[in-house]
Amino acid sequence: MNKFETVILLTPDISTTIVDKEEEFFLNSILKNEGKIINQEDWGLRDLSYNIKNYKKAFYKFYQIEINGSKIQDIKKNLSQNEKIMRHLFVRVETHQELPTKMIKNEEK
Amino acid sequence: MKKNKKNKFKHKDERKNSPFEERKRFCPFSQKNSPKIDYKDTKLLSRYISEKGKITPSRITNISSKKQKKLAQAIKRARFLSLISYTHKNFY
Repeated sequence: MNKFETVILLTPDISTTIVDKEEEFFLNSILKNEGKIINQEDWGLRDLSYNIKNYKKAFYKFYQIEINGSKIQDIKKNLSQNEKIMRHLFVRVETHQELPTKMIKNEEK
Repeated sequence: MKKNKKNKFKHKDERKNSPFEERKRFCPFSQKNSPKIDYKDTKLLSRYISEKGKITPSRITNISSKKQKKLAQAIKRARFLSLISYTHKNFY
C-alpha cells in the first residue's frame, strides 16, 4: 500500500448532481481495488489557464488515497474512458500533507 | 597548496571592498525554513517561470540541481492540470 495524491478535472457544463455521481464513480473504483480514501478537498469551479476541449472552466477535485500501486492502471483506464472527466493525475507521495492545501490558502489572500 | 592558503588569508580584507567579491549564493530551496516544492503552489512556481512560460535555468536562480529537477517536475504537473499556462505567465 502506497500513498497517492490525485486530482480530477470534470467538465463544467454538468449539474451538481452529476458531479456527485461522477465523484462516486471514481471513489467506488478505488474501493473496489482495495484502496482507502483518507481525505478529500473540493477546489470548486476554477478558470483554466488554457482551453481544454473548448471549455474554459472545470470542476477540480482533490483526494488523498492509499492504494496498491499496481492497481492504479485499471483505474486510469476507467477514467480515460469517461467523457466527463477531462484530466486526471496520480502522484505518489511519502507523507500526506495537512489540509487545507496551498491551493485554497492562496485564494483566500 | 600551502602558498595559496596564505594568500587567501592576506587578502581577506581587500576582498570585502572589491566589487568582484565572491558572495556566497544560496539555493532558495535547500535552507532550513525554505518552502517545499509542490505542484499545487502556483504562486511559488510562477516565481521561476519566464514571461513566455519557460522554466528559468538554475544558473540564474541558483537552485541546486537536485531541487531544480523537482521544480521542473512540479511545473510540468501544474501545466498538465491547467493551473499554469504553457505559453505565458499567469499574474496574481
